[in-house]
Amino acid sequence: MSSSAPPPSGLRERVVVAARAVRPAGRAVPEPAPITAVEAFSRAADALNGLLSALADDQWETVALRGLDAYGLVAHLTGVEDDVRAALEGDPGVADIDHVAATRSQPARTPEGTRVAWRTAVDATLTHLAATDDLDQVVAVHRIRLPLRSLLVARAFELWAHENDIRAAIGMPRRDPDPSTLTLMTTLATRLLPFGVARLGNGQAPVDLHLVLTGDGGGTWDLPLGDRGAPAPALRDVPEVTIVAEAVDFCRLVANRLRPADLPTHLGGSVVHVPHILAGAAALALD
Amino acid sequence: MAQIWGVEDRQLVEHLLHRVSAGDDLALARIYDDYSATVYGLALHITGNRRAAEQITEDSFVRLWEQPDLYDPARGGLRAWLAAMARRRAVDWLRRSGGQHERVERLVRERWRDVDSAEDAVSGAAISSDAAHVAVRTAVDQLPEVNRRVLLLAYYGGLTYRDVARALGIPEDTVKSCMRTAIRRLAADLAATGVHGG
Repeated sequence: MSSSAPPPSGLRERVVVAARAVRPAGRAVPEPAPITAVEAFSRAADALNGLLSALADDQWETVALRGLDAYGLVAHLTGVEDDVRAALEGDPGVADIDHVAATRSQPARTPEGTRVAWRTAVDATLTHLAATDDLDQVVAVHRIRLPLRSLLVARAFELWAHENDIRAAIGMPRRDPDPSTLTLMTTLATRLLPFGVARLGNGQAPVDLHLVLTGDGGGTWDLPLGDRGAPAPALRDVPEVTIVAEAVDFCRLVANRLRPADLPTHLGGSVVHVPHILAGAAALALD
Repeated sequence: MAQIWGVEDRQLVEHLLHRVSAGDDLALARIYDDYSATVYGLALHITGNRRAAEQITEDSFVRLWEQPDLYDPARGGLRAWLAAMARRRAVDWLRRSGGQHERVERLVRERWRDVDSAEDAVSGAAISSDAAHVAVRTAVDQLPEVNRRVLLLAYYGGLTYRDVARALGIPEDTVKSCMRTAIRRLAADLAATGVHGG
């Protein structure tokens, strides 16, 4: 049966408009249950705590990152936690200190002592958060200034990244965040991406990015990147590039746990801009 | 193209569907480009009405956008899935518009005659071209005329028993009886040839 027939030319546009009316472009399905940034941070802390509770003594001594074993890494996280809490309490002294250098300390070399010290610091942060209504307040810590809700998602990012650092060091499989947490992470990462690209240097040519992140935590974003201070005529022909990647892989890139060249992607448009964009994503990581 | 020589590139289709799930309307437009001629053409063929065919085409692609996970690649090609949805909607339209049962019957007969066409074979349509299909066709062809027409209208045409009764000018109870007999005879004939339902 061959009943194929070309549809009228206007129907394509009509279909896309009707589709957007039932589900706006950019919004992924199925949508995960929404959670707060506090919950995302809390879940990431619980996951890391679960891993640390299960580590054997010798696994604590396996080097995981920057020459740090699990003792050193968890001590670093305890220091970060203390500084974040100080920032929440209005201490300006932690605003411009270095994330890594300022949190390097000599941990107690007992697994339980190290874990409990960190968990106690996390619980103190959570207690503080429970008494805070304003998640939009800007918090300054470790040369970052972000609204509190964004900072908490960034912290979830960090805990997840370090959990997987330890997992990789001891040969355990990677853990991916739950879809609700992952959605908050991709939302933050895409919001910050223009700043990551800008951080690489001035004068980057403008480019319009159509970013499609698939799988859990996915979505679609249209992001104007590069220097938009150019004269209007120059912006008329801004090149477009499409990057399609798995959401969780993109988060690993943003956490600097996956090299741009190793990110599996499908590309379209002006692909010459892709390396710079992905480098900008990786530049968002703190360490 | 999501097809190579008429055969769907499954990987590309899945890639596009992942993008649709992620809210990428460019991927939906791409799917439309590849499959709209099939969907629109089929809807037009069944309804004979351009406005209805346009609406059916729009509804079919919007449905895919709204709930992309309704399509299960394991159960066949995207072309066949979209075509089945368009066919269902077109038959519904005919039913609602009334007085066009002869058209449905003619179309169903055409479809039955043409199920071996290359399009259906490569798109993984409901009726496959393997030995089981040949056995089913043979068994259906051997049914008495009334039983065969009832079966085709109800099963392949998607008509309700009431609509089949109106189309053929026979009581609804007779339709039900003919359907039961047709299925019983089919089952017996197919069992005799070694074909069993899954």
